[in-house]
Amino acid sequence: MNSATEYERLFDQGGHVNEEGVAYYAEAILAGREDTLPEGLRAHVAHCSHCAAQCLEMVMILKEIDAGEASAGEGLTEGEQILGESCIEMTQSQSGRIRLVWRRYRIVAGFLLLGSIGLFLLLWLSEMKREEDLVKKHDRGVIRQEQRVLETWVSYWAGKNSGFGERFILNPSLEKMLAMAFRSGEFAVLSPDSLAVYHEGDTVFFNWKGAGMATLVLRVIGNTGETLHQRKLSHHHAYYLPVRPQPGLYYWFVELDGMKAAGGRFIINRGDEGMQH
Amino acid sequence: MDSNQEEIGLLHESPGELIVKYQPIVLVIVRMFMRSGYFRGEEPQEVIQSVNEKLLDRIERIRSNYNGISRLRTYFSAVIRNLCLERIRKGRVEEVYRLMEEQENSLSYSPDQLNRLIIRQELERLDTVLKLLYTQRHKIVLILKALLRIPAREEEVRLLLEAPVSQSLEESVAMLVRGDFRSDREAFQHLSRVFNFLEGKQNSEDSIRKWIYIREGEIIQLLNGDPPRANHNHETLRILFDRYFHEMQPPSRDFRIKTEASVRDI
Repeated sequence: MNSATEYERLFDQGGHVNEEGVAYYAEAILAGREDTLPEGLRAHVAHCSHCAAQCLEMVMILKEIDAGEASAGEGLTEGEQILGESCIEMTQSQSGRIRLVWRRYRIVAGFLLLGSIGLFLLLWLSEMKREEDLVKKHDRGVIRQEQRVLETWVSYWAGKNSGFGERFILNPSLEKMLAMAFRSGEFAVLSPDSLAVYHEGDTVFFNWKGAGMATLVLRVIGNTGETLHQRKLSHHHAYYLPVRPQPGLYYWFVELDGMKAAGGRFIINRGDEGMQH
Repeated sequence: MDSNQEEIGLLHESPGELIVKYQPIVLVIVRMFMRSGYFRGEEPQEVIQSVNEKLLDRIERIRSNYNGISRLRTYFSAVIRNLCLERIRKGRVEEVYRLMEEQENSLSYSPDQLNRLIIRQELERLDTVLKLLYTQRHKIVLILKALLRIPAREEEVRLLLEAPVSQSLEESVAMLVRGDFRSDREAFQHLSRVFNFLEGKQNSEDSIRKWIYIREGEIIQLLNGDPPRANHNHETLRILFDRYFHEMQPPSRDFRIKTEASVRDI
């Protein structure tokens, strides 16, 4: 603690220790250096049961975090076990980061494209018409969409080589559903993009606005039509997909009060098939 | 760049990523509340999602309030805990279950293991409470040891041993070191003598009795928590203190023998 100003920052306007002050105090106790805390802070906590309780709970939480991260999942109820597994998987997987992988992969994707350009062009040309339709239907910028389409096919190709090809094939009926007009109004999905590409193990993060009080149903479907995850959500505007999808192409749809409101696709790339970090 | 700096960078550039990184912390805190009987009837995932959303909503406030005095993950833990408390206080919980009842139903530990686990947890809480009580800690420990007939440790009576004291005071110190008072009344007599000397006061035995009763009440309140997580009272607190002194502050045998010898020499 270097200055009076810093010391003052440990207290809120009501004169009690604020959240950061509580955090600071708890860290000091756990490090066995409470003697280095400002005298005024210690005296206040010793005589203020409210602040003492906050600090006590914080110490217990930090202890639990230290101990619990290693033994997460032990001694939990069934529900907690499931939750723990999904969350731990989320975080263990490449630090659980939300990424738009196409940004990081575009250089690698470029090399792959050059290497397999001939075959790629054949595939690409054969699907050109359909992709152009998708571009129109989704009202996306042409250049941006082309980048994504290219990458989609890189993913497709990487998957194809590794026996995962069928998981990357577009599903005609789901494509039709995507092409249908969605009820929009104020509702908009901010994340994921309509054709987001994730790395295997990444967390898929949904974020939307304008749902108001409506009940929202999020459905994630694999390219073969099987439902991967479905969730009814009220008063939410963000949701972490609690399952870790296998590599492949997935479709997602959002219904607001029973009406289709948005949809899109995302791709989970394999980590060991050409699309390396 | 250390991990704290990296996390501060994420707070400003990619808060969503930071929140994902902190999911184990959210999980641990939500789990702690659930173990104490809160969020009953709610899906754990619902609670976690709700906390995540609120974190996203408040990210601007978190950015502006965080001054870098503590580690970001500790600060976030405090915020997450407060978000859980907000949810609890909004009345989304129907009933509070006692720790024992809840854990007996949900955990796969044997009763013995469970008891040991709970007692260990309570002892750790008590240890932290004593640290938070700062200057009052010494007095509380000395009084309760006397009342529980537990010998005082060297560092607890060092001031008295070093000071020029009267014979009656030396006798009181020896009694504290032996911890073998015949009654609480006798213990309070000696304690008042000792603390009147240390504090330069002329308090009665009854004022010490009242003082420790009030402090015990404060400790009980802290141990029970708000929202409540346990149901300690004065009786169970004494039992907990007895265990605490024996397990976490064992009497120093050499010191006891040495002091008894020196007191006999007087």
